[in-house]
Amino acid sequence: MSGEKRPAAFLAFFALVFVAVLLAAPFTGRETIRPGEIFGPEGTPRFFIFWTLRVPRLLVGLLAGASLSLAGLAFQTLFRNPLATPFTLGVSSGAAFGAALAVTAGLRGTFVGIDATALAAFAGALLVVFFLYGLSRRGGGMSTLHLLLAGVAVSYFFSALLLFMQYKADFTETYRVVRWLMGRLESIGYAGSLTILPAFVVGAIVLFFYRRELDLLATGDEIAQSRGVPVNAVRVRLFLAASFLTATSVAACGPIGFVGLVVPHVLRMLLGLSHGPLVMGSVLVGGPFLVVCDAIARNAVPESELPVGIVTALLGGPFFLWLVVRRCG
Amino acid sequence: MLRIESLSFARGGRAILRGVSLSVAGGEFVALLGPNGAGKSTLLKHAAGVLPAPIGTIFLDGTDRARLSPREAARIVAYVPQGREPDIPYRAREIVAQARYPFLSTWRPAAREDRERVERALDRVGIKAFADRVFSTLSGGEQQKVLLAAALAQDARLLLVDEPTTFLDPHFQEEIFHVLSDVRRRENLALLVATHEVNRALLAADRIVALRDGEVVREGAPGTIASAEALEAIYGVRFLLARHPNTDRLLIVPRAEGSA
Repeated sequence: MSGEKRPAAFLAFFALVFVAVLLAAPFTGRETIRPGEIFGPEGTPRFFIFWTLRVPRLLVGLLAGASLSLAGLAFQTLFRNPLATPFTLGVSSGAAFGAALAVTAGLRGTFVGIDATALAAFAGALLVVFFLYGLSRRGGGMSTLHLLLAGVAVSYFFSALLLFMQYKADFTETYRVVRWLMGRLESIGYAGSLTILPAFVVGAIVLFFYRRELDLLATGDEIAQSRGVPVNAVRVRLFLAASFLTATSVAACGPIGFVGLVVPHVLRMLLGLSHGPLVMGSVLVGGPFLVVCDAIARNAVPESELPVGIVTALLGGPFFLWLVVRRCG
Repeated sequence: MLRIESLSFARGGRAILRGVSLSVAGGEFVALLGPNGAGKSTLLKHAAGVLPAPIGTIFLDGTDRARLSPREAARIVAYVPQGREPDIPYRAREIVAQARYPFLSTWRPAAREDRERVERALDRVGIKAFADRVFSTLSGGEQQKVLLAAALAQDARLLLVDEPTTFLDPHFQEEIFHVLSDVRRRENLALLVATHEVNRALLAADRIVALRDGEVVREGAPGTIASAEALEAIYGVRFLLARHPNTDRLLIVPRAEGSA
């Protein structure tokens, strides 16, 4: 039973890192802000930078990072496949297609406080989710492998549509779409956080509530069913929770890659395969991971900001490769 | 304990079970015989709830399985799948601990008695030594024992065991059947075991039910099955029988090539 203590120690460490990032991130950057400056007077540039630019950026980073990590964790377990992520399942490309459609159709402004592009992205993601859900309910139900393959096919289909639209669109539109596709945490304000927050709260609760069921699903469907898990019902609820987590994050921030793949895998190596600690770890690590990537994106290149999606993939890719190779060797 | 009433099942237009009826009493050891494709595994999966059974066909303790929640049913029957699930990523002890699921909830997390039950199950099957090893690194016989220990930890009163010795060498075959008899006696369990080990079934079971092409073709005490005629009805082959040196029971022996 020596393995029992390790997850607790790691989780305590992750919680410390989480708090450290929460406290440090809004004060650091090109402009260092002292704690005294955040209480006003209102109207000073630093007051504005802190409350209008950095705090919303931090919040949306924490929420999107945690949501994408949770979604990746759930998808990987549900499909019993380490490659299942919001991206491989086509949910992200559905969202990207929706966003591109909104941009090229000239949809602008906001609706109930949410950006029109984000709403269109959300609609695109849901379209894919319900298409896959419908496929999975067809007849005797599809095997998870076939569902995963269907997701990959959907993903290619929407990517092709996206390319077609960019080919037909003018230069400004194309630039806006491409920029959206790179993922961003900046200039989406508090509305971005509000877009993600409900799905994050519900999704995190659902995943934690079903942590034992997730363990049994990772063991195998037949064993899970024979132990008393209503497999189909639980699967549907988890699938919808993970899909909403993905759809809202992508809608608010664009398709930020690699978080949903890397974070759950690293957590499994550190915490083991029990989903109770894994769900908590996804929230505690996924958020700060994205915020730190964003901080690097802001400061890596002088006089310009990199899109955060580029940083997550540039950092996450080689790191992940190193982990995988080290494990096999 | 378990009563199955005229259960039929078809998949892809092919009938796999045709009106099968069968019952297992509390504490009874029933062996399920039959050639490959006779429907043994499918029958066990229906009883285990892995395949949904039609209303009015499967009764656990007199209650229709379809009216029991999966958790309630899991407290009555436990299922031991064929020990050939190489990609379970968990350690042996974790797999056994997961079997406490029907007794746990958000409001009732695993308590000391659950952990003690897990250790007792590991002990009973004799796998404490490798309880911390990952399932996929264990041998076939060890994997089978882990799945059996998990079923014990589930605290059910009937174990549904699907071909527990198919991929095992003679040593493990002997051992698995020994463990099955042992746990059955000590924990007063009922067993429904699908197997191709005809001789072991004839020696150890209280009763034998034989399926062929989705129908029950023979049923009765081992003595009534141990005849060339009955076994031919089941397997379609004329076997040579000889008496066991200790028990005087008739068992199958291989024919010597070239002899009459």
